Amino acid sequence: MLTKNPSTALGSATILFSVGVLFLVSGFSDAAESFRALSPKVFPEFMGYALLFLGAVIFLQGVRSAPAPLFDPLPSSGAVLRAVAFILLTGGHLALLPKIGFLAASVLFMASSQLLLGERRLFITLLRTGLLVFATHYLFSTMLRVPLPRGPWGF
Amino acid sequence: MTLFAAFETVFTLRMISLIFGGSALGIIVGALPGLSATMGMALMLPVTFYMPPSEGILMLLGLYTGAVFGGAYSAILLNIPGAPPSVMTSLDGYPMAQRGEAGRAISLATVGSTLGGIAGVIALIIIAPILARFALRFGPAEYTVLAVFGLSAIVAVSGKSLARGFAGVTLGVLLSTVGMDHFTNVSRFTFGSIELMSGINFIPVVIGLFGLAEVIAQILETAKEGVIYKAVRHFFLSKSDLVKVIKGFLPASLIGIVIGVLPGAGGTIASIISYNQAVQSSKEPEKFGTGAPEGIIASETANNASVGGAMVPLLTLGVPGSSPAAILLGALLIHNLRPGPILFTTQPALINTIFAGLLVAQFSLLLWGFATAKIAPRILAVRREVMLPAIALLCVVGSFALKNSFFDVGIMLVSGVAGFFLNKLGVKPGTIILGLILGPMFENNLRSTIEISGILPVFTSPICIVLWVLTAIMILYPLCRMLRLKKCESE
Repeated sequence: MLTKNPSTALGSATILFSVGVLFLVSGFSDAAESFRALSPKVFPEFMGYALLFLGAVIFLQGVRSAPAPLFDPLPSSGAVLRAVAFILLTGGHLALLPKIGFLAASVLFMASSQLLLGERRLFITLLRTGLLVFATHYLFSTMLRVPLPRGPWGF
Repeated sequence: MTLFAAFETVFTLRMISLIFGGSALGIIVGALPGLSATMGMALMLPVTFYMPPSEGILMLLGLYTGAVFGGAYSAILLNIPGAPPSVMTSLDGYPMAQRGEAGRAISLATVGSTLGGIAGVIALIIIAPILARFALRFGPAEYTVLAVFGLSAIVAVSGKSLARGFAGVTLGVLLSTVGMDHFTNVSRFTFGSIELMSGINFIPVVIGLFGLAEVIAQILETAKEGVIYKAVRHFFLSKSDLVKVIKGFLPASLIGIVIGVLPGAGGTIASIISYNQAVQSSKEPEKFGTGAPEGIIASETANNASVGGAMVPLLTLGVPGSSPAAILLGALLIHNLRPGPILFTTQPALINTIFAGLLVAQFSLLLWGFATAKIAPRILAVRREVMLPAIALLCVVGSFALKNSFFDVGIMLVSGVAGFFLNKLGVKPGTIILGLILGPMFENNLRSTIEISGILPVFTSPICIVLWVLTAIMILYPLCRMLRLKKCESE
């Protein structure tokens, strides 16, 4: 019987994941098996079965235990929206990095994420963003010689 | 030249400035996620071309020592292990910072690192040849069982559910199999992606699982307002802290030295094994992972003791056991110095200067550590709407800096989101990292052993037998204790 418990959710997800792993392992090339003592399949296959077993154990633990919420206390819908938007902003930052370069992409990311998290003073936000991004750029790019991505305008 | 005479050479303003400057730079490099001791040393290597060998080598050694210690800062303050050896430090350092004890955590890391480092250097001076011979006895079979021994730390980092701990480690090991198989060139879980051919680097995963996942968790904590952690108190160590340091120092140092000597093992594995040992020998193992000072001491002492250990095969055999040691080898070769037994007879002055300088470098940690224990935690007073985006930016730059790869940033992002949910479901990020670090060591060495001489040496070699016994103790002892506790509770 399914109960509303994090263990049943985790167990189910682990079982599904391990089935996917075992399916993928079955598709590995076996051309090398004749001249190698141990096939490249063996190790991932073993891990796949181990995960399947552990998934079943966790699922059963969930079934046997009392219902429990995943989040305690439950976050507000506003906080969930902010978290999702923040992840999307970080993804957007990653997408923009190769296109417009580190400085421009990071200024956009830092300013928008501060506003998203509740900062309301626009001038302070922009000033702080500029300082933080340029300091990071100087530290990594100039001092530590990490070639941070540049935009079409050369910075 | 004797060791005491070498101290006279080292105690000049120029030498001291180079060592202390090197260690300060190392701390910065170590504290920044994605930047490693190897990278910092590689950057400074050209500078040493124009210096006398002793000065150049000592500056690099200062940097190496500082970088291993520096990872503790970001691990404690931001939950992002700046360097791989600090992964275990974040398990207890970050909860301490959340309690407003970041300064105390840094002080503990400082004292632990210094004492561990000193123990490592003393071992290097006194028993280097014996340790080098011991390291030579480690073949693939021994490394296989060493990985199993490391994996026994699963009990220490699992949290409440052992099944979830095993699932996390299995997931980590599975992730470590992604990429081109080294033995057969067969692609595993690459989905046709060229980037995945070289496998998943564990550093972006660490940054995501610890750093970004924590940022997401903080955003969801609606109850918190203003700064992330309000009070920053307890900068210095109490008497009970010092007792804990003294108790934890010896086993952690021994583990760090022995693991450090083994080529390819290094500070990360040393800190995992040391942390596990500290948990198993503690009367209150349940406190680990919630801000136990002993956890920081075990991790930091062992990873810095491994620095001295790593110098053993380099200086005595000319074998660089780690990437930073390889840079040091390069620096020595540039100055026409070939490490090995002959170097001890042809260049005794240089060898003694290296020993003395390495010892002084450990004391530089004490200076920088205590000087920053009060200042560094002030970063936590920054408001959360500024702090959280800044941490995310550091996660992005740190992941990118590793290989200048956008793909690694993507791995960090996925790991962060997955890590957040897995953490909520009770799978501790430390378990995944454990599998990711030790998985390749286990698989590659097991397969090498089987290819060379079959499976038998894994069970019959004397070192393997000792390691199996230790592994059994590490797993069975806490299980027996758990059963005993349950029995007591039921009674």
